[in-house]
Parts: sequence; C-alpha cells; structure tokens
Amino acid sequence: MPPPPDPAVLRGMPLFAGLDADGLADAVALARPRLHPRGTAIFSQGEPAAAGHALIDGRVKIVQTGPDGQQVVMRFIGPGEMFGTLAIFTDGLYPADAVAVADCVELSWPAATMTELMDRHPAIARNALSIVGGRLRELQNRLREVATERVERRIAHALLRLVRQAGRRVEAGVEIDFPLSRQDVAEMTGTTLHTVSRTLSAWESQGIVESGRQQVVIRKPHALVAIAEDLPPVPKRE
Amino acid sequence: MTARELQLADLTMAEFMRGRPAAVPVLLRHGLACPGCAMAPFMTVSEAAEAYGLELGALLEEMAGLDGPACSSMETV
Repeated sequence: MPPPPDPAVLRGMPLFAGLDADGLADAVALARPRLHPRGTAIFSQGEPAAAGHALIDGRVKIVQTGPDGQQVVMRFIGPGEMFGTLAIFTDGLYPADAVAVADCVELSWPAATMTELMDRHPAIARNALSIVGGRLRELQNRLREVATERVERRIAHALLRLVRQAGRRVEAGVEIDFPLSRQDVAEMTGTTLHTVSRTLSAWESQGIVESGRQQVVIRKPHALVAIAEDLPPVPKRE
Repeated sequence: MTARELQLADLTMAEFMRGRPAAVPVLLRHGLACPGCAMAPFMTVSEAAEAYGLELGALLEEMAGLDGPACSSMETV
C-alpha cells in the first residue's frame, strides 16, 4: 500500500473544491490509497458499489457491457476526476467496469464514509451534484446525436430498399419509380412524418436527394449509402 | 487508359461484379460497399471509384485479368 497521501493531492479536484485545509485533511485521512497496475480492474460491473473513487494519477476506462455482450466505452477518467461514486447513491451496484489503462494511483472512500464526509462538508455534496450535472448534460448531448443518427440511418436504409425494388437511372441520379409520400417513409421507418420531413429537407439542402410531392430522386447515391452504412468519409483527392 | 479499361469503366458496378466475382474481395479491400449494395445496378465503375476517392486507372489495373465466367448466383445483385 502506498504511503498516506498529502492533503495537497486533493487540491484542484472538483469534488473537493471550496474545502479549507482542515476539510481536505479530513477527506484524505479517511481515504484508502491504492495502486492499480495498467490493465487491472478497479471495480467490475454489477459488483456492490463499496466506495466512491477519485483518480490521482493515471487513466481509467469506464466500459459498460450490454445484455448482448457488446462493450461500450462510456468515458475515460483522468487525474483529479471522480468515478464510480454515483452508484453509492443509486442502486448500490457499479454500472460499468473501471479498468486502469495506465498505472493508476487512486483514492477511495467506503460508501458510509463518503456520505459522512458529505454531511460534515456540504461543499462535497454540492460539488458532486455539479459534477453529475455536467456528465448528465454530456450524456444528453450524446443521446441526441445517437438518436438523430439512428433515425437518419433508418431512413437511408428505407430509401435503399425502395431503390433495390424500384430504382431507375435518370439524368439527375436514381429515381424511386413509384409515388412515395413522406408519410410512407415514416411508416416504413417507425418514425414521425415530422422527422422524415426534417431529414429529407436536410438531405435536399445537401443535394443528396430531391423530393417532389410524390417522388424521390437520389442525386448523390453514394452519399445516401454512406449514411446508411456509416461509411468513413472519403479523403479529398488532389 | 486502354480502350478495354474505358469500356469496363462504363459498366455498372453490378454488371462488373457479375462478370468478375474475383473482383469482389478487391473492392471490399478498398473499402467499397458495392457488393450487395442497392445502388450497384445504377452506378458505373467510374462513378464508384470517384465516390470512394480512388484512382480509376489504378483500380482497373489491379483487377485486370480477373475476368471470369459470369456468376449466376450474383445475378440478383
């Protein structure tokens, strides 16, 4: 076990912002310092959340595994950041794995100690709230992106299905050769007319599609495929 | 570019792949999503190369000599 850290290690950490020297000393005295070599797990998804954690040095990867076994990197934690702390205040289970991706020095506080510290130093609770609020905002942004992308890809796939079935080469590109309303596309993709209209309008302004009242021409077939298949952007050639 | 290559460049991707199944892995290796794509019957080889930012001449050269008998199983592509 590494020697007990100097209270100065907590200085500059958002979780302990606004604490005086006594407060910092109190927090450090109750902390358990630990070293985690690169590649080792600090905690695992589904384990009882025994403690709140703060990273002093190194880098930690937070990885969540879905029911289908697919892993998603939720975020990377750097020096000075807290992690795994929220679980203490929710269902008491760690929601993800924390893996040291570099040699790490970490402080942790057992759940009961963390709540006790928050009672004694309300600034810690306020700081935690502000950190959680910031991460919630990040997640909301990410969710919006994912949701938007998903519906875009669904609509692109629907148009490609129709091209496969009824595509016709025309001067301007590839036409879907039967009357097709935006409502039809909405029903094919399980989304709303509003979303289809918004998406097609955006694609129209990018010159990808051209849609009349009842027909759709794909002017940039590859651009539509790239959206549907999530292809990497093509590097510009000289 | 040879006359033969110019001719190939104007085939649709679906025709091209149907005539040369051996070209499919080459296309995939270059990151082209053409095999199985709904747009393949409508886009020429030359348009596909342009869309993916590939040099048409070099791509055709790489696939030269891959001509083979038509593959009936790919007729629906």
